[in-house]
This record gives sequence, C-alpha cells and structure tokens, in this order.
Amino acid sequence: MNADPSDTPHPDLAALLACWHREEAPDPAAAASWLERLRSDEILRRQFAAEIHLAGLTRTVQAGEPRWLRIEERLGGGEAETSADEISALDAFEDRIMGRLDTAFPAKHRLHRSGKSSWLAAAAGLVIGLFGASVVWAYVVPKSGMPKVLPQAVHDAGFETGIPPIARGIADRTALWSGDFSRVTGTEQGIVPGEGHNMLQILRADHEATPPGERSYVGEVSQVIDLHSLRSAIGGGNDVVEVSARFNAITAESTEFVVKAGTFRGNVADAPSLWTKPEEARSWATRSTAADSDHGTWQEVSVLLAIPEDADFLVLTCAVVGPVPTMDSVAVEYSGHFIDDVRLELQPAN
Amino acid sequence: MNRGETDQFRLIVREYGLLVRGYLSARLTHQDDADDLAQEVFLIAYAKIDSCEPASFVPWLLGIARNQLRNHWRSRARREDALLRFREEISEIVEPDLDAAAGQFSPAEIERLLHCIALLPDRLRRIVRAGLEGTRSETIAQDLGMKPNALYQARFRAHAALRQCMSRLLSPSPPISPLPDEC
Repeated sequence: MNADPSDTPHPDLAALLACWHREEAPDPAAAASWLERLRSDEILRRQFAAEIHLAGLTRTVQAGEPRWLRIEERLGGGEAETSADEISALDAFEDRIMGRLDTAFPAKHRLHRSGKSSWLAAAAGLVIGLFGASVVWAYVVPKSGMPKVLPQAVHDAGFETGIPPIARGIADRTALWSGDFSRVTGTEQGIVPGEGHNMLQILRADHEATPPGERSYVGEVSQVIDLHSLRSAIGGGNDVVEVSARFNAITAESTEFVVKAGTFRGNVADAPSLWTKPEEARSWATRSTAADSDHGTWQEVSVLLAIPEDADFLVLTCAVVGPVPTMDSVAVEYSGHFIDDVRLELQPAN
Repeated sequence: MNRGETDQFRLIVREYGLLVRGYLSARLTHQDDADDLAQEVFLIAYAKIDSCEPASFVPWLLGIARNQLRNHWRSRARREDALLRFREEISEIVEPDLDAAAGQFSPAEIERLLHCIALLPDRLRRIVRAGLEGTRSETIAQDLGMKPNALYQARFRAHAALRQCMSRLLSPSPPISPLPDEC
C-alpha cells in the first residue's frame, strides 16, 4: 500500500482500524485474512501500529490520574517528612535505581528526587497554565503541604439542615442540592452518618424531569458553586481543588461510588445543559470506586480539579452507580446507599 | 523496602505511569482496563525491583506489562471469545512496532500532544476521547450523527492533525492556531 501520509486513510487501513475499534468480532475468514495481511504487509502494520499507539496515548493523557488504591496500600501513606536515616536509605536506593537507569536512558528520563515527576509536572503545568483558550483537562498532581478547606464553598455539605435535595436533575442555581430522588436521614439500617447527625440517602436513579421511558442506573446529586464568590479564597490564578465525598451502602453488589466535577464558563442557569457536554468544560475530573461490603466504614472518593482563571462556576456530582437495570425495569431503586461530608479543599501552592 | 525506598518507588510510579498506561491503552480499547492493568504492573515491579537488570529498566517494566497483558487476554478471552482473541493476535503481530513507538515516548512529546489536543476542534476532540469513562466509539458516533466507519475515519484525520501540529511545534515557527474543523 501507499506509504505516503495522508488525511484519508488507505481503504485497507481504514477497514482494519474499523475492525479493531468495533466492539464485535469479525467473521473468522476476515479475521484470518487481516492477521495474514498484517504479517506480510510491513507498511500496513507500521501505519496500523502508529494509529493505535497514538489512540492509546491520546486517551491516556486525557484521562485523569488513576487512584491506585492497592499501590497506595502497599507503599503506605502519603509523602510525609523524611528523617535523616530514611534520607540515607533513600539515597542508597536511588543510587541503585539510578545506576540502573543511567546507562539506559537519556537524562530527560531520569528520576528526580526533588519531588514531582518531571513528566507529570510538565503535563500538569501545561494543562493548568498553557491552555488560555482551550479546555483544561484534569491531569494534575497534588501539591505539597496541607490542603485548605474552603468554608461554606459547598452548601449544606453534611446535609445537616435536613432539607432534602430537589429532584430536578443537575442544579441550575447555587446554594442547593439537586439531583435524583433522595432524602436526608439520620442513622438508617444500621449505618451511622459519616459526620454530624444526618446523611443523604439516594433513593432512585431518576428525578421529576426524567423523560418517560428513560432508564438509568446512576443516582446522583449535584451542586453548582459560583467561583467568583470563591476568588478571594482561591486567588485569581490557576489553582487546584480537591472535591471529595464519603459513601456507604448496605450492599456492595454491582455498586460503584462516583465523584465528578467540572468547571465551565457562562451562566449558572446553563449548568444542566453544559454538564452534558464535557468537551465544553474548562476542566473536568471524575473518579469512581467499587463499593466494599463493610457497612461500618465510609469510603471516600475524591478528584483533583484545576480551576482555570476564566472559569465562572463549578459543578460537582456525587453518584451511586448500578446495578444495571433489566430490560423491563423502569428505574433503579436503591435499598440503602448513602452520601455524606462533601468537601471542596484548596490544594496548597508549591 | 523501608520508607525511603517506598518513597522512591512512588516516584517511579509517577515517572513511568504514563508510559505504562499508554503502552497498555494502545492495546486495550477501554482506559479503565489499561489503568487497572497498569496498577498490577507496578505492584509486580515493586515486588521484583531487585531482579531488574542494569541498563534495562524500561524494557523490564514493559516486559512485565506485556506479561500482564497476556494474562489479561487469557483470563478474559478464555480462547473462545473471537473478538478478544482477534485483538490478542493482532497485538502480538504488531508488538515490535508498538514497542518501537513506546520507545519514543518522552515528556516533550506528551507536552506537545496535550497542547495539540486542546487545539483540536470540539468535534474531533470529542472523538479522540473515545474509550474514556467507558465511552464507546459507537455511542460517540450516534451522538454526533455519524456512522461508525465515518467516525473511525474522522479519528484518523484527528491523528493526522495531531501529528502535523506536534511536528510544527518542533520547529521555531509562529504560534499554532486552533486546528480547522474538518468534520
């Protein structure tokens, strides 16, 4: 096939890419034919590899930084102060690793003991500072030091007022909770609120304005926060906040807990429509975790989110996902799924 | 390992996280699968760091990734799922080419890629997010009113635009302006 780069893929390459990306298997004869072709046609193979490599890389750099709980568990807590003895041990280990790496990599690939990964720092610096007129993706790293809770940033963060969220989907104004059918409750089914006296119970995966026939298995509540009112606290620059919430459920079966947050330009009243268009977000982050079977403890889910200088408001949602409804079910109802202690914390500057 | 060593390994995870995730993501269609597998890779690397041969850290790390990928295919495909078996066989055939591409991975390339993604028109930027948060290409195609094959071709054009943009960033030329919407 022609090796010249072009904006139009060679028909064979286009067909192969379609075959690769499609979520259904090619028929056995076609599959065998493609495999044979890839073995024998070096140019097709290279171009195909270049395409799927770039697709993977593009996806990865746009994804939020994963929270690898098992690695965190294995490596222990965060980055605490290091004693002199430990620095000595760290030096020895670094020397061992660096000795191995020095001969394998150019300097730009080496590790830097000074803390932040050069790659991630570069990526974070880029997404926070460079894209003045474009979307800022949430590929950020936590900064050093202690986070600062922004008082009253989240209205009724612990549901202590006892006022239930309105069941109208994503909020279109500030200072209230809005989402799917839910209620505020005290201790329920043996689950004690994560903080204070109240917590939110997600009841269903739909709300008053859900179109007839639409089936969902995501029960969520949302809040819109006017960033202009927080500017004095977070400054005018490109800061990073952590949005977190605590979750609990009486059953872990097919259940996930999710926190999503995004910043947008425009009017708060447009938040519901903008929320459905992540591509219009100025920054965006999402994180989910599988529910555990321990009713006695709450699980925290958090995301890091860049706050671009020109963002007008922030939308956060806390959701319970699953189980997937059957074909003849209307909307998922949750038997005992709770949210509490929603927080917005400013990550300290370096 | 003591605390100092675990701190250092944490740096390794950060330093090479994108590399391993990108390597796996090229072979898997859903980012969540790639990220889960990448975690396994680092857990194994952590346990076996002392067996790493001098001068071969990245090949060693990617070798773990390759083994984990094979295990993943085998546990998921169970040899009777035609789609997964097809993807596994393709991955094996293009392995050397993908390894070569992964070897060119650099912080500067990531910077350029991020910059150029941001310059893509909204429609193309949405297309190159396929696979994130469980978003399937077919769903995006439906949302954009496109047929799946048209979407795959649009993604190819997006990649061509990204390569061109990244290439232009390498030369001392005027600032790059937003890329034209071709869809």
